[in-house]
Amino acid sequence: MAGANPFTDELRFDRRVPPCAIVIFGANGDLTKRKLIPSLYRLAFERRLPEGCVIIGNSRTPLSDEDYREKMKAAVKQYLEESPFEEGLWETFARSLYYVPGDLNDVQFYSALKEKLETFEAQTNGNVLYYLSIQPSQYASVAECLGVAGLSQGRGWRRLVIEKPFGRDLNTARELNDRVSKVFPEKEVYRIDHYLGKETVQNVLAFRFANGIFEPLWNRRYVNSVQITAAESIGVEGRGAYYQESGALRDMIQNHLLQVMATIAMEPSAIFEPDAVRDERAKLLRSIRIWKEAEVPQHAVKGQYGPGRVGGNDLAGFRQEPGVAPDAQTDTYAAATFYVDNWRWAGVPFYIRTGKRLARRVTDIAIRFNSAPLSIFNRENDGPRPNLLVIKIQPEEGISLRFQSKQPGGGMRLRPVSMDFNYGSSFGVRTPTAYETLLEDAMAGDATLYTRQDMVDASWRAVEPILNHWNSHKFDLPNYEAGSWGPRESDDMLARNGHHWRLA
Amino acid sequence: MIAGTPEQILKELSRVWASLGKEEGGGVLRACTMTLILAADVEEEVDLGELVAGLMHDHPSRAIVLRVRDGQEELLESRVFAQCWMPLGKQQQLCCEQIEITASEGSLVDVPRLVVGLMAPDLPVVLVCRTPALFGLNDFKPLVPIAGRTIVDSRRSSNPGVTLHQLQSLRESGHDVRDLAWTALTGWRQRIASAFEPIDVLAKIKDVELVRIQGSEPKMWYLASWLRRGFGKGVDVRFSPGQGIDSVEILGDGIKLEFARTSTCTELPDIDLLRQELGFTGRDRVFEEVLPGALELGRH
Repeated sequence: MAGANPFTDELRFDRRVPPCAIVIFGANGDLTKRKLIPSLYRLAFERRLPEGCVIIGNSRTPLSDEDYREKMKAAVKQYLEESPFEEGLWETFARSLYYVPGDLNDVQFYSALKEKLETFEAQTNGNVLYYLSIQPSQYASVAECLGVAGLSQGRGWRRLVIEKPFGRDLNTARELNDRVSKVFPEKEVYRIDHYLGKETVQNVLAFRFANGIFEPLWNRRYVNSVQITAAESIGVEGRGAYYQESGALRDMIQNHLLQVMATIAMEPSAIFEPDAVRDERAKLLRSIRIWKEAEVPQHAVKGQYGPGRVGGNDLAGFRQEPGVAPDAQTDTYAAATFYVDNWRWAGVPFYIRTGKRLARRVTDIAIRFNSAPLSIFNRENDGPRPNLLVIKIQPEEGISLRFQSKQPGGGMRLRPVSMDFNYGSSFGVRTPTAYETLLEDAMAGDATLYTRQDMVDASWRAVEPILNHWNSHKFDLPNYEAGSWGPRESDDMLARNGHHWRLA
Repeated sequence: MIAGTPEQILKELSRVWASLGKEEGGGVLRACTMTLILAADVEEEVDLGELVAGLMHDHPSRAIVLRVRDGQEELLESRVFAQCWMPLGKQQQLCCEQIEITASEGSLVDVPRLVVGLMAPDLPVVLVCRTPALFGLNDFKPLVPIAGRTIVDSRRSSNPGVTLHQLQSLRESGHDVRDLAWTALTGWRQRIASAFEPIDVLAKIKDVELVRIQGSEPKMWYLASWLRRGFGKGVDVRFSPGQGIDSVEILGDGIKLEFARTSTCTELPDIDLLRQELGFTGRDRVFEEVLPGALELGRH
């Protein structure tokens, strides 16, 4: 029997990504144009897209391969981030781009797709990555149709990438999973959460588990509270009808922000392998205290923006946005306090907030440490200010630590100062976008940054009482002005614990 | 040109930063992740400036460029400047600092002490020696222990066997050494390693009897030593002259693999090889195991 390959060299060899066909359902949609095709082009630019890969787009619009290539060329030119567009490379890339039009409910479409895939089987070894960039209501039926058409199995691997939302609540998430798992085994289902693909979020793991000085402080003895903010200054930008059905809690907290929280609070895994890391994330999510419905008003705040004025411009309120009902009860802002009931975090509040039309665009995580036990300076003032560690995710990327320093001059007057690490200045190279990372991972079969069904279940369980309470009560909305930091009730929620939002 | 004490040079650097701050309205971002010492003699220094500028984008550093001149007359000069560029899509320039030291062989004795005073504190120090012959100069050798890692390019050596011997001596005394001749083989090695991925091919490893390599020294020594590390030392190795690596044949009972040069194993430009090499952290255990075998093959 043969042993391990003696020629492998983990230090120097690139991860081997096998060639495959990438089938994008919803190939004319916004996500495909803004993120998927530009990311695949960028992978090709960096020679990280394996030779032999083909991309097959599908949507109902009748288009030829050439038409589709032209459309995607325009999209790549428009949405390529921090990279040059190279005509020559595009020509090569475009030759691997194909289009199969068809209705997702039409059996004939799947036959045509099968035929197309078979023509490339020699170069892709039969490997296929299906990407569902379509309406969530179609996820299960498309998976089933792929199964019926014999496209879920074949000579190579068959993987299914699903965009959030994974269900509208715990029951629908489970129902979706039941239907998908009849066709694709769990290990071949890749639930994408692009927040986990962000370099700065991945860096949280490196920061915590590759540095000896922080982890000893990373617990209830030293951490006073954690704030996670994902604020957007824009409104719903023409997606009012969609957003009306979803809302901030479903759109951001249930998936992205609870995953970020899990990354911040999880235990270290013994090894850095997909299931080991995901086990720890899942364990953390399962440890989140589930609120009783009666407790929700104390621990969660729903908000909706009304009209406002920013930079001399009048901004419409959510209810004035196109496609939004004038009495919509949608949460364009959501804030919640979560507790993790384990030995490391018992009693430490994790405050999460997200919203649209807030004062500015910022995503960060702030870890507030306990104050020094005794204030020997500034006795007459308000005591020592706590140390604050801020992990900046966007638009700035980096880490800063706030601590106290003596002001120059006589006496012992202190002032908080900040020590900053800026991603851009330490690593001159461009950081890959989340979709580049995640698409390459899916092709390589690395699910570390993808969400598993038990994680989806646990995060739905954490937010479901809040959703139920909000759905069963009528709120006096709107309750915050466009361009502000959100509703006053959110400040009150923290004030009850003696805390306040860091940016407010 | 400024005189050669660390204090004077660092003062001049501060002045450069201060003036940059004024010119750009304080809008430049100072970046430094290591001290990068690049040493070359007059023949190899032609594209040194371009090389440094290209490396800064991926590995922002305090670059100390050492130009060594022939002769025993006293010559030790330095000048400082900043390398700035605007990253694509950003609105703030990134700047790195560069210190150029020109020293005659006669003044080389003063350089290590000067460099020690100029290193960016608490950051890694890497020495890139473009001219392998500099290792033959006694006054150059003290620079090696200053650096945590030394990168040489034995392809540039007029006597690669001597350079490999010097590398092996440094390694044996505990230094982390690298050779761009080895870095340049990654494409070839990856291709050969992939050929042994199928289980039926992997099972034939024990049956390999002969390896034929067409290429040039020292790359073919490294490649042969690496192959012997996988097949076992008993495997017969035969070389024929060529350029870089032209072809590899692996032969044995029931196995015959032939590799010709393709785009995946075309030799990368020096700057890309250096970029790669600076990106690896930690010791390169495979290289360290391969080096003695390559040296031995070179002796024969």
